[in-house]
Amino acid sequence: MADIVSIHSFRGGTGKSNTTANIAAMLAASGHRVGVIDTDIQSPGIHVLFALDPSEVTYSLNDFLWERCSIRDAAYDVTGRLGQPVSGEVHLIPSSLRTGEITRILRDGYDVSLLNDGLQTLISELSLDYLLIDTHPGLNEETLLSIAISDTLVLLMRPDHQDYQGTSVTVEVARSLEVPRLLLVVNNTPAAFDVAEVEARVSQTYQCEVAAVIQHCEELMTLASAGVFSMRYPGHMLTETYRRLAARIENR
Amino acid sequence: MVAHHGKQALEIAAAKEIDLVLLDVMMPVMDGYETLARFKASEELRHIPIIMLTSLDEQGSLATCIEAGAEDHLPKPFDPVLLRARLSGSLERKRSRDREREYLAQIVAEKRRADDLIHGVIPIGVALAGERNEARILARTLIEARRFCGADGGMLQLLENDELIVVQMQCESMQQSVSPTATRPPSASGGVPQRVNLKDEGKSRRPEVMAASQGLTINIDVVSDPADYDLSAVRAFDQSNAYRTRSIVFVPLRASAESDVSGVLQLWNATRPTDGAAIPFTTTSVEMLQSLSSLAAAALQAYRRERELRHRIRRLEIKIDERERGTEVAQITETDYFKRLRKQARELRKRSS
Repeated sequence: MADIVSIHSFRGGTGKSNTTANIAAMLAASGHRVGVIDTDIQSPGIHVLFALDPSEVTYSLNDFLWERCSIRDAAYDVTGRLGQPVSGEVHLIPSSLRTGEITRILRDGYDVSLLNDGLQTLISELSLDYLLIDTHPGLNEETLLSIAISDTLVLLMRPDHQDYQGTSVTVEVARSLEVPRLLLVVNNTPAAFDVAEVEARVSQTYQCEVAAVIQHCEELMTLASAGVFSMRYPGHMLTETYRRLAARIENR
Repeated sequence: MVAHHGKQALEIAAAKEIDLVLLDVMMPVMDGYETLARFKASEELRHIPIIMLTSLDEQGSLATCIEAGAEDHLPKPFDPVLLRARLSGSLERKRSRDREREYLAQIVAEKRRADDLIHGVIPIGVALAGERNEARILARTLIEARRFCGADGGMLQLLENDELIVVQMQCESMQQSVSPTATRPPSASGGVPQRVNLKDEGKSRRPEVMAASQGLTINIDVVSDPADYDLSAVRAFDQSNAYRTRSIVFVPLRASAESDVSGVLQLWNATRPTDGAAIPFTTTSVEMLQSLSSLAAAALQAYRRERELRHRIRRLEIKIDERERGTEVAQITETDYFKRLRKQARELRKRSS
C-alpha cells in the first residue's frame, strides 16, 4: 500500500513545488517508486523542475478529469531527467499548461471523487510506494480532498507574519480531517534566524512536529527551477536537509 | 685587563663584563685559591670560567682547584699554542653556558607570563564574559587593565561607523570617572575630543587613530622618547586638567589578530609601586594588556551577538488570533462538503487498515 503525501501551504510562493520535487528525488534515490501529481491546476509548475517540455505532454491531469484518457496515459516517467541516476523511479502527472483549459476547469470545476479513484488506480498500476501531491494553496475543495485522503500532510510555511494565521487554520482543518500524520516545514528561513530556535518556536506554537527548517539558499534561487536542486548539488547543506526530510516522511 | 692580586680581580669582575679569568696562584693580598673560592661563591661571578696558572710544584693542588670550580689549568711556563687552545675551549663553553642562561631566563619570563595570564588575565576574561550589561563590561575592562599595569588613568574608545567614541575614562589621581551612562557634558572627557573620525584622520600619526585603523599596539615614553607621534590629544588632556602624562600605551581592542578592531584601550602613567612615580609601561605589562583587551573584545562581541540573537528571536514571535482562527476553521469544517469528505476519509482509512 502506497503512502499518499500531500505537500501544501496556505499561501502561494512558499516553495511547494521545489520541496515536492526534491522530496520525490530523495525518495527515488532511496530506491522507492514515486508518483508526483500536480493538482495545482490553476498555476501548474512542477513539470519545469523535471525538465518536462509542454510539447511532450499529450495528456495531462485535466484530460483525465474530463475523462478523455486513463490516469496511466497522463503519467510521464521523469526518472532519467533528474540529473543523477537513482535506483527508484519518479512518475509525473502534470496539469495542463494550456491557458484555455485552465480557465475552463476553474469555471466548471471537476469531479472530486474521480480524482480520488484516479489516484488509487495510479498507485496500483505503477506499483507506487509514495504518491506526492503538489497541492493548490489555500483550502478549496480539491485541496481538502487531497488532505483528506493523505497519510501524511507536509505543511509548508515561511517565518513570515503573512503565513502564521493561515497555517494555524490549515493545521486545525487537517486535524479535523484526522490526517494520520502532520509535518510542518519552515521554508526560506533567513540566515539570520537560529534554526534550532525557529524549530522550537514553531513546534511549540502549532503543537506539531517540525520536520525541517530550510534556510534561504542563494544557489537554489540561482538554479531558478531549472532542475532538481538535490540532484544538482548532492553535497550541499540544503540537500542534506531535503534528505533528512525525505527520511522523516519514509520513517512511519 | 690585568689585576695585580685577587681582590683587584674581584673588583674588576664586579664592575665589568668579563668573559674569562686567567688566575695565578701566587699573588699578594689575596692568593689564587681564595680568589677562586670568592668567584665561585658569588652569584654574579660564578659563571665566569677561570683557568688556573700553576707551576710544577703547585701541580699537587690542581685537583683542589678543579674541585673548587676552576674550568681548566695551564702549567707554567705556558706554551702559547696550548694557551690559545685552552682559552678558545673555555670561551666556547662559556658562550654555550651563556646561551643556556638566556634560554633559562626566557623560560622563567614565559612562565611568569603564563602565570600572569592564568591567574590574572584569564579570570578577568571569565568575569567579563559573565557580565550582562555592556557598560559594565567596558567599565570593568578599564578598571582591571589599570590595576594590571598600575596605571594612574585610562580611557576606552569604541569604534562605530569609522568614529572613535570615548565611552569610559578613569583617572585615579584626578578622582575622575566617566562612563557613557553618566549625564556629564562631553567636556568631562577632559579636553580629549569625544569623537574622532578615522576617515578625516587619513595618514594621521595620532596613536589612537593608528591603533584603531592599523591594529597597532603603541607604547610611548612621552618624556624621553615621544618619537614622531602626534600627541595633541594627550597634550590637550594635560593642559585642561593640569596633568602630566609621562607614559602612555594604546592597545587595539579586538578578539583575535584576524578580527576587526572594535575600539582602543589606552592607559597612561604606569606607577612604580615603591614610590608612586610615573614610569614607562614594561613589555610584560603591554603583553598582558593585549591579552586582556582581546578577552574584553571577545566578551563584548559575545554580548552583542547574544543581544542580536535575542532581538532576532523576538522578531520571530508568532502571533495567532485564536478567535479569528476559530471562525475560519468553522467556516470550512461546518460545510456539508467537509462533513461528507471527513466521513469518506474515515471509511477509506478503515478499509486500508
